[in-house]
Amino acid sequence: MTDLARLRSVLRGAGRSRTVPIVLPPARVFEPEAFAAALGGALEQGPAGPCPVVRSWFGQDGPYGERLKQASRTISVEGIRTLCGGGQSGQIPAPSLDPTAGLLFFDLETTGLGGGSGTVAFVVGFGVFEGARFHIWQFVLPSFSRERQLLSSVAAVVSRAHTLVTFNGRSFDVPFLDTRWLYHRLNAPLGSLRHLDLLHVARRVWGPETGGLGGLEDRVLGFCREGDVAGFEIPSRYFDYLRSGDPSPLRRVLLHNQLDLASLGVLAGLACDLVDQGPSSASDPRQCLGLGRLYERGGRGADAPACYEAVVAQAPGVSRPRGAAALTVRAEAFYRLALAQRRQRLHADEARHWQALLNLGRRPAGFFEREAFRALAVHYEHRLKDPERALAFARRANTAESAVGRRREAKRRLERLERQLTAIGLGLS
Amino acid sequence: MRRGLPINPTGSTNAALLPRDRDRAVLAAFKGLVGHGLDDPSGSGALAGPSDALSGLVEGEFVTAWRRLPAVTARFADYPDAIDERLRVALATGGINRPYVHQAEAMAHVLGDRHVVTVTPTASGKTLCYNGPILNRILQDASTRALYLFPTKALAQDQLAELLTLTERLEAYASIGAFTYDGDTPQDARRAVRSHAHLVLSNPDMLHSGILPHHARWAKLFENLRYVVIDELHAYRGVFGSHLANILRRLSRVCTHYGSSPVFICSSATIANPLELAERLTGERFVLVDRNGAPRGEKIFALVNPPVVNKSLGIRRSYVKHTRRLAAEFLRHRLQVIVFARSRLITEVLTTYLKQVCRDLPGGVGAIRGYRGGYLPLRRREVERGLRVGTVSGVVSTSALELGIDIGALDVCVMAGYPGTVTGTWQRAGRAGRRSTRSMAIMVASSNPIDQFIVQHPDYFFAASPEHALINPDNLRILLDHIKCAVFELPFQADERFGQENLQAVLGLLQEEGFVDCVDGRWYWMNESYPADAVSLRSVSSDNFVVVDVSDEATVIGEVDFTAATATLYEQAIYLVEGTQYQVERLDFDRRKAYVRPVDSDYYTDAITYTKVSVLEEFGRGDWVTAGVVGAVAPVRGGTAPSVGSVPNERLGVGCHGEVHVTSRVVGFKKIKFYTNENVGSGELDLAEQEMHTTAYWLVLARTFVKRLPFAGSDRRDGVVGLGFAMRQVAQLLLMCDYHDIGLAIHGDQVRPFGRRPEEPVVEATLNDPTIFVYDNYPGGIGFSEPLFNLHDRLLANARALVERCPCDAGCPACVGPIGKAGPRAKEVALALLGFLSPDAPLLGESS
Repeated sequence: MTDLARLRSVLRGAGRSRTVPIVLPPARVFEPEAFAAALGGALEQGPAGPCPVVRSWFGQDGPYGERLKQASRTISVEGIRTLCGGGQSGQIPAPSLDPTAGLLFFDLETTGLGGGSGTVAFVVGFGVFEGARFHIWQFVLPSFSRERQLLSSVAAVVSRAHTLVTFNGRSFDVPFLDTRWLYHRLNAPLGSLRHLDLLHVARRVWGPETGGLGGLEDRVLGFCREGDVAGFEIPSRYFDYLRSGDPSPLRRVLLHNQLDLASLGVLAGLACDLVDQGPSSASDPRQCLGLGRLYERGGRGADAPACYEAVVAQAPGVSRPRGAAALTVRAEAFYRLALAQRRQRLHADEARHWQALLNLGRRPAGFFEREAFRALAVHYEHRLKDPERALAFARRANTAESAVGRRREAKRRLERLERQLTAIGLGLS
Repeated sequence: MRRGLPINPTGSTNAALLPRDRDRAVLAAFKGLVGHGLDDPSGSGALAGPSDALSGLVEGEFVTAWRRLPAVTARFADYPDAIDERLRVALATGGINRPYVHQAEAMAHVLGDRHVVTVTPTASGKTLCYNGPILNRILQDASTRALYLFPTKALAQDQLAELLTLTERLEAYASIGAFTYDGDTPQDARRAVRSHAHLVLSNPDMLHSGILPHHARWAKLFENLRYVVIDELHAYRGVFGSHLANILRRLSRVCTHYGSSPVFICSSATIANPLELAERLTGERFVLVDRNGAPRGEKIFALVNPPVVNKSLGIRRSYVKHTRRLAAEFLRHRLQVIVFARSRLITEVLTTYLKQVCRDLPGGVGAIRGYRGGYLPLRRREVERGLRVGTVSGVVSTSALELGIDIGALDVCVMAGYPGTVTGTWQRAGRAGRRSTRSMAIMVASSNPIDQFIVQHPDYFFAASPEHALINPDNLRILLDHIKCAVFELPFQADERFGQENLQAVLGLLQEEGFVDCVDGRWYWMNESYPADAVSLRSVSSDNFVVVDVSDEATVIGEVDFTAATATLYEQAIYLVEGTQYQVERLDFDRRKAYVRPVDSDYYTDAITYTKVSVLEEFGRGDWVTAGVVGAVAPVRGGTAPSVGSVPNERLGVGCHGEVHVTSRVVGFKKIKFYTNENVGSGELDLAEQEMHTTAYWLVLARTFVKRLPFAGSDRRDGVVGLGFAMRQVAQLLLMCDYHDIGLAIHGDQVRPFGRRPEEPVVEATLNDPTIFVYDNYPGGIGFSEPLFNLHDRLLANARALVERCPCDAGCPACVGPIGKAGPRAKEVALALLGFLSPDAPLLGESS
């Protein structure tokens, strides 16, 4: 056996000598320039050398055009600040005339989703608003050996922005690209930017069941992509290109990336609008509740109770959607109201809302119920000095608690109250 | 508390014994044990050294040998000058005022940036050898990073506890972060470990699949990596070691990328070649530290052979039952006992027995526990803790407790059967032994040939050098897997090397398969998969079978690795967990699940496997053994073998080695009754074949020669099978490998219907010469075949000595296989064959 035949036999399973070699067309290495041209782009000079860039503009017409124009008007400095989770405004330049300036929409296409040093980003897509137009430019990797040039060009773009807007970028795109810079022992610049991850905003205001970006386009934007390339297909398209030297399979990947970025632009506009308009613009109680939570997270806690009030104020049966989900939304609104009042030491109001939570008719989710039992037991025991009523709640808390620490606490309270009541009954107190 | 009883702060069952009482109990138990031997005062053994308390005790039939290993006092040295005063104070706070000589020596080497391997026994303070210089360095330079590798997660957890007490004492001077990083580390904690840990405690599996492939996230570690600690070095032999060597090759590439070159600090149990192993694993030059300075209490080491109950059949009383009897006796003396069994099955059987025996002892049934791989971690931690605090007085374990998990020091170690290696035996014996009091280790021989050999030739054992740890980092299968991982981590340069294979050819092949791409002279990973996921370091396949109890709510009660699954989880098999019996109702092979239900049966099951080997390529062939003299007569004990009219220079047999294809299939199982070991039934199974491409040594017997032996055809066949049986035992001894490391298959010269005697290796119908294969039981081979080929002469000579000197009449489990399995004349024929193949055999055990 020759070396290669022996290797083959070990690699492909013993005994069966399927030694028919796979014949591949000789790899044609495209010149970066031709590569860029084939994708409708051009080579652009970066700090470490040229990199293929494909540019496109959304904003003239089509469904995206109108919606992006609208987004460019509704995006506001205050809205973005709230959505980002508040704070950090010191690093952000003073509000300029154009609130979209410095906002950088960002999305990657990679050779694998698992991460690790053997996966690379072969498309780094950016989007910015230029007036009413949405300008997208994509850095595309012509071969593995050119990653350093691409990363340097990307870093140069990042250095001109102050806020990153992504979808799930906190968990995927940003750490992914960070490791690529680290891998090449270059400075990773993304960490210095403020980051608005619309995935987390979307979960709150459009619900977790909307799923990924595709689901949001469908349910919130009313868009439907036709002939879009499926996510799992993306890496193999890049490998196809590498094997054949023909970049055409990448065109659809670039389009996919552009649509992702454009949708991000539209969603950012909608989210800003919601935050700026307040609870009255919310389309349903759940969105109203989510808005309250965005305010709390965004450093505008004072605006949150109004959202929760709006949820609980809705007359049952009128616009209130049915089902367990709706009940949970109301329960959470009571819960958050009660917490807000506790922070302001409005304990009577707090207790009223806990009680309202328990009076919801059907039983709300266990978590909120347990919180209410515990809070009311504390309230009656310590503030109102009413051990008898406190005992009633303590008993219910004791059976409801599941976490070990909480159980112990509930049991201690119960025993304490029982001792107290026994003492009273015996006239000892 | 009653007066007169010693104070027992832990409330445990055995901590009540004071050191002096413990000493006496060990002695009393030992005297009781040897007392059996006193029945036969003319026993062959000599007095093993005078001892006040032990004089008069004689070795005999039952206790074939015992040795007294005298107590050793501590030898101390000074700290190397470079050791920081703050560290000295911290160590002194923990009771270490001066290091032992080996600790001081190892520290000095590490401080001098020399790779060092320390070889010292259990509980000799080996951790200071690496913790000392590493913490010292961190005190001087806070950017220093170190990676600790332990063979198991449990060991890392164990070591972390010890490290933390030390780092806490240094808190005033430096905030030193020490964390474990393994499969149990929560996702949100991983980031903190990556950025804050000075000391990362992990295992090869995690380094392989969690750290190296994500090296960029660990840039801080790799840029500042000064030390790599490899503890329990001896655990890395065979397949596991071959994997680790490749992982370390990958580590070295990554370190080069980040500009670091760490010092390796290894520690090992006593093996024959610690330096060579360390150097093969890491590719670096090492210095050896093996002057042990730690103290030890007196230890008694005894070899025990259960008495023969049927001389003609060579059957001895069950070693398992004997182990039970001994262990129970020690437990009655309120000594803490660890029993080692060789298989998971025996572990369970012994746990069941001992629980029954100990019902009436303090602590009751709960004080006896089982311990083996496949138990869930929580259960294992519970047993370890129980051993440390004393609530567990007896534990029955597989080799799982051989490694340095802290279970405290116990009084007595009983080994049910020879562990298979000298190193393993001393390691296990080391589990019993306190620093100041007397301890005892006992090996109870089974009827296995190797056990019988050891127990009947105690001098061989006590003088034997420990084993060589063999690894083969260039096993193609393993190498290929790691080349994939390596290229995923960093592209290969056109002139780079990785192991002995032609790297560029391998990469070319991987390119053909679509895994890599060559761009501008460099090789890049070009695949969506994550190659590390496809590699399991500890077995052939990465997926384990889960055992699910469906009796109540479905609960997972254990795990079985892929290779063992077909032989343990077939339908109707009895699966044992801590003595509880479950019967397998259904095996879902595709989903890797076995559904079981508790049963109460009086038998356990044992699988019957059918194996076939075909030669793919012959690498080497020795010289034919030829008949020297016309009419040669093979000498046989107690007479002469029938003479064979052989032709001068006639070819008799030849040894070969090369690559083979092995197909094996579980075809049935036996039901074996508890206690009596009767075969009470069998069942047929039809499971999928398992295939393997590996290496083998084989002995070809010339058909003409075998046919001329004056025996009936079926007897000749039995003789060849018996010869194979004996060769396999000797091969295991010569290679010093585990039983499962090698396999045996025999191809005969005539058709033989399958299924008549399913428990023996099946003789395959061929027109060729009868052939005995001893194959390497790992895909690709792990390096046993070539050494065996080179040992061909000794293999045959020792096989002859083994069979010739065996006291049985016509075959027993210690030579050509048990009578009834081997055939009535198997021994006779095997001897005749050996008489020709190895006419002037030296005796077994003679100089090696």
